Amino acid sequence: MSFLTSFISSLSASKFVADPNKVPLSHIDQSMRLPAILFLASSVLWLQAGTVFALMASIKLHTPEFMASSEWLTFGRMRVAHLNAMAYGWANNVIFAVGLWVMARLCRCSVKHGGVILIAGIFWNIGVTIGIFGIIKGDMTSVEWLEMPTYATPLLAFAYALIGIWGIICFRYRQVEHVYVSQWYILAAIFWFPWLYMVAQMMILWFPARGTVQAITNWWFAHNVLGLWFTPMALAAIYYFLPKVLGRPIHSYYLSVLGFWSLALFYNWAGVHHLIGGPIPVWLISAGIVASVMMVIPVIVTAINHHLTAVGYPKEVWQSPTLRFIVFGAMSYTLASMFGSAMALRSVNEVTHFTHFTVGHAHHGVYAFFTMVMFGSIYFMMPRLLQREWPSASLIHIHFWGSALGIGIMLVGLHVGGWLQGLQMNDPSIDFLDVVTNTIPWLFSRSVSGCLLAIGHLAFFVNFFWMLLGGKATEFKGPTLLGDMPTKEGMRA
Amino acid sequence: MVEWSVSLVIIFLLGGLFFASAVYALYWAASHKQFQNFEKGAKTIFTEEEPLGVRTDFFPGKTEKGHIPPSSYRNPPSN
Repeated sequence: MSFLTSFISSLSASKFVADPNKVPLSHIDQSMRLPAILFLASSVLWLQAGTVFALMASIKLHTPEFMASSEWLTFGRMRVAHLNAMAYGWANNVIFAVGLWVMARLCRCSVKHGGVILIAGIFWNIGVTIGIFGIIKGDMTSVEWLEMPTYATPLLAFAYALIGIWGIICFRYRQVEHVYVSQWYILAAIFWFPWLYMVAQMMILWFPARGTVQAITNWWFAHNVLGLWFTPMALAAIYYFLPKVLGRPIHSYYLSVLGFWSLALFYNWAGVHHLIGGPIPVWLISAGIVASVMMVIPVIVTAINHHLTAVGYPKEVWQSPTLRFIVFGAMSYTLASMFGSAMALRSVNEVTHFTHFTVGHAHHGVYAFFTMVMFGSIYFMMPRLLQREWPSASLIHIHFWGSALGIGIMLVGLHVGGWLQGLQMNDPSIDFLDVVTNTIPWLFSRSVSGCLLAIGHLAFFVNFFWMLLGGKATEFKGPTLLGDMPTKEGMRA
Repeated sequence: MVEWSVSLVIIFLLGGLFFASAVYALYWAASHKQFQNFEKGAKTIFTEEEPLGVRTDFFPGKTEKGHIPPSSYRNPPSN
């Protein structure tokens, strides 16, 4: 404990500058430019790859003969490749970019030794590439969310260590005394993720625990990746960008802090609800259910706060690409979390367990909430990193509507279809094969939604790389995110 | 294979440490006055470049009239 005490004490910044405005945000943005662009470009590429894998897996569910001639392209490998490309390729890369950038801005800390983050980014993406290739090749493990073969994980651990240490150093040398709620979320997540990942790797793959302890560890890890890694990073982004874009502080800062601490204290236990009905101690499951229901507190607190910050400003939200995505994500967070708490109840879980309802819930959290928030964050970041505007408003519209309609259709299809599937599975008078056949229309709707999502992602890809590589052709085309920039001369004055 | 009981002890130790670290961070925050003056804390994200009361994000080609970009963005650092 003394080690913990001294370590946390060392995080106190030793001195603060009298006027934090002396460290201009534009300088911080420029110092983060290369590392952030590397992570963002990688994340956008992984998003496209993950989308292709997802479409193939989705089509195979209702049309099994689709591309069935190669063992590299079977459903089992494509689904896992999709999950890992999205979780470790898209999500982690975008988290590194958004999380570190927001942290640097809030700490008023210009990036020094940015080469370290660049090296970490290169290693991370090599590790993910090897991992995905290993999965498709047939080397995957049988552990959900940890399917990457063990020869890929040391690279990921090394890269993450560099990134995490950089985040902590940035916090240590912050120039502002107050720790904003987004910093709490990011700093905590920086600690939580390696903890979760290393414990799960050790207890499941390297020194495997016996029997059901593996399953307990597996779901402790998998659920906490969502709740203690993706969620805090996305909430950090919402608490930063929502008030920033509107130009007004968060409705209740007190509630935001309460939301963080209740998440930090309750969420860790919730993952065991995935094993309801499983051969593990009942009290452990009950504890998981209680923690899941307790999560209603941070969710309601956060929902009230977000809602009261944005309510009354619908026009402002609609006119901002960042807020369109972020408010969509914030609303989805509330819904997905309330669904999650309800699904942890035994009576509800009896229906939803082993059905497409759970798959729908996962996409509700990871896409409708997390991914939409990250899209919004990127729309805010890129103009500041590149000092130029997004080249096409139309592509942003296509991206938004493709994503919003796509995920909307998917959620309706999988939740309704999954619920009906669960009811039918619990009815002994219905043959199991009939239950499977009855899911086909709902699975087909998922493929339709996947096509819409793919269109949105493609529009985003084109806009992103057009902006990145378009050079002068896209410069000063605005005026948009940073306000009026009427002429080149004005910019250079 | 590690025995069931040993695994459970390890899990509980790690879980306990996890929980203890959260509780200690809470104590650290309280003792360093992070829970005082919430109103001021909420405004720390606003700066001279992105000030309170000014919207900072629009679709390309559309913006609020009279919104002037911060000088540091008009004259970005050369490095």
